[in-house]
Amino acid sequence: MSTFTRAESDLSAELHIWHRFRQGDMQAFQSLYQRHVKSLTSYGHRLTPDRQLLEDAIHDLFIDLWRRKEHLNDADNIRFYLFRALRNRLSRNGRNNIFEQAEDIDGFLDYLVALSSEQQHIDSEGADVRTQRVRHAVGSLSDRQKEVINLRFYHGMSLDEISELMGLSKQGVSNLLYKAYAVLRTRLGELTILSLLVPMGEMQAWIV
Amino acid sequence: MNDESLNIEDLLSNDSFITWVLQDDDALLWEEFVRANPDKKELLEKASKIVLDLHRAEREAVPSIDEQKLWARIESTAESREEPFVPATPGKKLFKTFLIAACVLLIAAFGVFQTMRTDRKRVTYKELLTHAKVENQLVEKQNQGNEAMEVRLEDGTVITLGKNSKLSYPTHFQKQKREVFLSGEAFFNVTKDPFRPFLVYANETVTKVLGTSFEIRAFENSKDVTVHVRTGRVSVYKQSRIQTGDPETTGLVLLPNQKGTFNRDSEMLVKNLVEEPLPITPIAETKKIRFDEVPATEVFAEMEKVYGVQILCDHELLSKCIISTSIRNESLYDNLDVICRTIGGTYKEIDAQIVIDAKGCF
Repeated sequence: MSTFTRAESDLSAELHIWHRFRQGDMQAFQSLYQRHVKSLTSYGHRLTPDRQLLEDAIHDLFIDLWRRKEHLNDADNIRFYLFRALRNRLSRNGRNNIFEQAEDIDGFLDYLVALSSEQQHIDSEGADVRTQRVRHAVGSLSDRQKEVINLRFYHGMSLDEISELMGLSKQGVSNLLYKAYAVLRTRLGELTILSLLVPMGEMQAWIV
Repeated sequence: MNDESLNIEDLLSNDSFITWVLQDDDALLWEEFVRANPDKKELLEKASKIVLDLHRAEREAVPSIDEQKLWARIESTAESREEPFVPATPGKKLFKTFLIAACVLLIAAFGVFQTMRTDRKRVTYKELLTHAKVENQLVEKQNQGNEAMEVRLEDGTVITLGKNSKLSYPTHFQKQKREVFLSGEAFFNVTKDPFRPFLVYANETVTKVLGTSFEIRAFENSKDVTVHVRTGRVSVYKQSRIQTGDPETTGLVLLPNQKGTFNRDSEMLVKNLVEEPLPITPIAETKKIRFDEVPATEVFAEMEKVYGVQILCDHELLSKCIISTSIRNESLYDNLDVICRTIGGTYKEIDAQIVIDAKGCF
């Protein structure tokens, strides 16, 4: 029961802040920043590895919000709104090829094979080490795969939201996720539970 | 969903499943599902483990940016584009006073209502300990005397325990973190260990550091929990019974000379400067830093460094104010008083920063 009220009150607090911010309340603007800067950083670093560029983009994003505050609408999903604005901003910047590059299947299969031939040392490991290994494995994904993993598993976004944000069909998002699972599985070997995902042989079925 | 062939990928593709694991929403639905399909329990556990593994890995990967600094930048850009301030007319002022009075009444009424139902939110020291004991053997130190009591932990951390305060800690710390529990007030000098964060649980707050010194005041019957930072950098956040995502993301990062206050009734965390901000590293031998005929902005820049506190002012206006002064080894406010008198300005603290208001010099 309590979980529902919490979620609701959090949502209404968010809307309240948004409302006050649109009326020019600097403090509300700051709360808005404080509530979202961590999420934006986390998502943004999957869009550009350049930290300065990311900071600048977040700066510009908020300045733009402040300048246009009178013209903004009621937003029912503020985080999504901000994510999209950040993504647009970084893609306009053009220094990143994450936004155009299509995934090419042959290259992807070669990549998988190369990965699986890598030597893996597996000791009995604690939770911390496992997190590091998973992190490392995620690091070996393609940019778009990283983005989708970040949105899905860090921010808990729905498939619909992800597809809208990334400009892909829902099927496209699923494909991207499945590819990511395949890389993770290869990369992590028998180490983690992730290895339970999609055995290699079944890959052909969905990869086309 | 009741399909026999339900597999892990199906679960990972299910939005409701993801929100359940990460935010504990839709819990009723999934608990019901497990009850109806006990054979799927193992599958759900595996899938949720994957979600959490990836979530943790992504959390670790987040780069650290200086949020304070970035905010200061945003704020100053935003304000520089604002229209000039228009003073309120007397009529408006009267209305404003009336509004404020009405608000105060409303808040007071709300306060009375709130006190009737606050206790539910409170987390006591006892509760914290029962949780912790499940995992670890705890040692408790109590200070009932009149003098401060020193407690030394196995990692070299030294804790000075105030009057009527108690502290519990495990005989041996865990591999990944160092956790202690406090009721009352204490000064912490924490040994650096970047791989094992040090966590202090006090009432409803958690203070997390890697290695630094700070003071916490959290008496069971007091209204607030306060954290003062002496050196280093700590993060403070609320702990709640329902764990959602990463609680740290809704917390505060505190730097030297800053103080975090958690109001236990409103459950709000706010950041201020401490009452007496002191130089981060004392100004030693010479006892003061002298300035001769320099722009005021230069003095403020030096003060920012000495106190680690952001000082915001209109650079264009104040760079024309040429002053001779010195920064002495005392509170930031004492030094600011002197300088503001010289340039004919005032200052106030806003969100743990100092904002200088002055007309400038000609």
